[in-house]
Amino acid sequence: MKPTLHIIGKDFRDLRLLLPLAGWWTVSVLQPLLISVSPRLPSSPPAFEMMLGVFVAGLAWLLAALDLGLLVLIVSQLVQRDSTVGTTAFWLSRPISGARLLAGKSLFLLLAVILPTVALQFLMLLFNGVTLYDAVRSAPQIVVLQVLVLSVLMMLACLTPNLSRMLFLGVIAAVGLAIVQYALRLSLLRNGWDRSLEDSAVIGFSLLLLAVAVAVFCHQYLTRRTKRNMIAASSIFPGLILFMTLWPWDFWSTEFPVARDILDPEQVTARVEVDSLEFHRWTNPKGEVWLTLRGDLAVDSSPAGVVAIPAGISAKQFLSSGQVLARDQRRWGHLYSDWSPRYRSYFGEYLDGEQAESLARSLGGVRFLNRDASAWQRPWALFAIRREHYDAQAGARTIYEARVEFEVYRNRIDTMRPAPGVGYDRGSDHDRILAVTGLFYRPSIQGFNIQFSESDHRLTLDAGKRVHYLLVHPSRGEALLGIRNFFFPFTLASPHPWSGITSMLRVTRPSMEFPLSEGSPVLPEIWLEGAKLARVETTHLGVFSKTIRIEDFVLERIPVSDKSLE
Amino acid sequence: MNAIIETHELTRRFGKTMAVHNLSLQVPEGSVFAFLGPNGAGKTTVIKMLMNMIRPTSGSARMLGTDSLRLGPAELARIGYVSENQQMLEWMTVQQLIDFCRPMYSTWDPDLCRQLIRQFELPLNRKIKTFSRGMKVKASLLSSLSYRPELVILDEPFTGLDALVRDEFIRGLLELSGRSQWTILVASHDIDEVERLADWVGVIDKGEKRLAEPTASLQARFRQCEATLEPGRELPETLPDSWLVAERAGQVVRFVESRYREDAGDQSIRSALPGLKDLAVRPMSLKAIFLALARTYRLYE
Repeated sequence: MKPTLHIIGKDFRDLRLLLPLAGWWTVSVLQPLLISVSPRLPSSPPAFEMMLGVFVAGLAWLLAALDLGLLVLIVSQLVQRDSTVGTTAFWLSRPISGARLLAGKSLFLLLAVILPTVALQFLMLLFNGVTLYDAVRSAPQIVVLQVLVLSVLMMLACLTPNLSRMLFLGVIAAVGLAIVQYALRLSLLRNGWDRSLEDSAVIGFSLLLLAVAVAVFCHQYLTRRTKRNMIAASSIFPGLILFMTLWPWDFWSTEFPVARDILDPEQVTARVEVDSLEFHRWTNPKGEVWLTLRGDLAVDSSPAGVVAIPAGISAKQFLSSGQVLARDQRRWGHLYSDWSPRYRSYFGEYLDGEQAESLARSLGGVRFLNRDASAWQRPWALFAIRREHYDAQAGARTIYEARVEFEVYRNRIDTMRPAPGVGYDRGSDHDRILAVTGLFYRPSIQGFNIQFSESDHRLTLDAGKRVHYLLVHPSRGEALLGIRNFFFPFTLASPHPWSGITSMLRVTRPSMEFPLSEGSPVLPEIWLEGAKLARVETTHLGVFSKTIRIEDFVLERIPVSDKSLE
Repeated sequence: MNAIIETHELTRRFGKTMAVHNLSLQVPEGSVFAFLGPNGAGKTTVIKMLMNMIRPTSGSARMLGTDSLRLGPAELARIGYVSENQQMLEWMTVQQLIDFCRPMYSTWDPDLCRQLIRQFELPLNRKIKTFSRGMKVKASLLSSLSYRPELVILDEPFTGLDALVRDEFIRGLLELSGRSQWTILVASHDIDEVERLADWVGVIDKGEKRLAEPTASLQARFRQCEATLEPGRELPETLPDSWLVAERAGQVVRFVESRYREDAGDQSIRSALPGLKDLAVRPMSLKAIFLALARTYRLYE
């Protein structure tokens, strides 16, 4: 241990290492400071808010870039001052083993980088109202992320003699791997590969990358066989990319089956509303005419408080003899069907029409004054066939059968008075209203704008939650759907989104607009006094699938419309 | 002979270039071994293989009785290595360098360290990066000799040093090695640098060993000869293999006899040169021997 500490002591005296380290410590303090202070600033006029948003977002990116840049410099100085490449390093002729040197360098990074990061992030989480329990749960993720970044940098640094070569190798490796991955995905997609296990794959890839990086730099320190390690690394990484692309284990699945105590698929029925069926004729860019069968799907007997929304369908048309005439498969790209805990969209999230309808029922049957502020998929596209197929089978008595996949959600609704200072606090989640103003596109009020300060804590596996806001006027039976304004808010997260890992803490200063639809009657200013702000937190509970069947499915009996919805 | 360094058919290839080829060498304990050869002969490559800085393509080497591929901290604590190519911790002052090196060596001798500082006139509180080339070499020597290593390896240590500093250093090294019974391997392309130092000489050229033997034996068997032939006499068609760089000017023939035997005197020369009128035989300096060998092997083509 003593020689290792001696090596660390030497590194802690090296000014060329201490200067970037001091810079990095400063940046590491500024980042949580920015996250903690900026969302709490008092509300200001829109022009200033816009400038503040641009400034804060820009500063956050600058600090994140500086963070990485300084880490590159620190690792380069630390590793390459006692280089494992070449034959001229001072330590090579001294009684210092490669293992001892590696231990010294690793301990230096632990003391100078990893521990301060954990301490600062921990304090930041607590300062932002994250519970102690959640903050402790976050610690492994903070450590793994930091170790991952440092390991990759260590690997690049120990295979190169100086900073410029290290950067060159890093850029070449990144570009090379991106090209390999792009080419691989393109080739797989052309061959009908259709899997979306990206979240599991990215986590799996990150952990494998960490293991490979650690193996490479340990081997380099112990053997100093640079060429061999370089060849090993460059042959392993394309393999990693291949592994990531073909990743088989969807451990972080968004498509996990719904628990039976929440919804038992055997107890619910799904059906297609036959009267709603209609063919829509359309022409694709190649000039081929297609007909898409659209119609409404319904789920009966689903438990109270649970919402089931169709997410995908796999359908076929066949004769009673069993001969299949046509098949079709599709997923509906509404907000929740492509749920990804990693890539949460912070801006402009439109509520699904089906969700909005369900909420309207939950809120006592309110009427939305801005129904167009939600995204509608209905009537669902159930089947698509070519014109030639339609003509050939128009009068045939066939059977339509489809396996429909449903996503299951639960909404938690909390209401509060829409007034500055009022807030919502539950566990590690905290929302506060900063300002409430009217939307004045014309001299009269066209809706409302509410500015919030939000902070929420999420770890990877429980990130499947989304929050929407509604303004509800119970006595008038009216409600307004909120839309996040694209221009005003800024969102800061820790770790930074480009770290590729789900943020533990997300703070934002959203500006929610509750606009009236075009042509709606103007609202009186007093409307807001009787209104409540509903905070709707939607939790994804899993998926289930049901089979629907239409016997006696005769194409020519279904009306055809030229109104294209494609 | 107890060899402290031993190589057996040591070979190193860089791509298509054969840097060292089948080199078998022994450096006796307590000797000052001058490892000579022109630039690019393979001296540094051999030393780097000895120090386990590069791996041999084939063959093996042992240092202090340990396979060079297994040299660890215990062996390195007994070896002092100074090379013109070695990076110094230049951001340190001499005092910081001493403080860094001292705990690594259980044999660190503070008195010797102080003596070397005095002898080399090294300022303790100046950063090494501000030093001249000569001062940097001195700092490197200080950090490599203060722990009284059993084996000192010097790879072109005098490059960039002026003659005065070089002499001063050689004097110091001779004094120290004499007192401490160190083994010293000093690689150089310039015989002048090591002539006074060496008691063994090894010559390498194009990666191959040309000779390796004690200086005394070398100087005993090499003689500068000048023979004057009787008028009208011609040189024989073939001259003995042991005669190097033979030149004729009129009736005078000059050559280097490389197998001279003191006990046999000049008998062998006289028998090889019929019609010999006069013969002058002179002992040679190490430098003269090295130059004769160099010309023979066309070292400086």
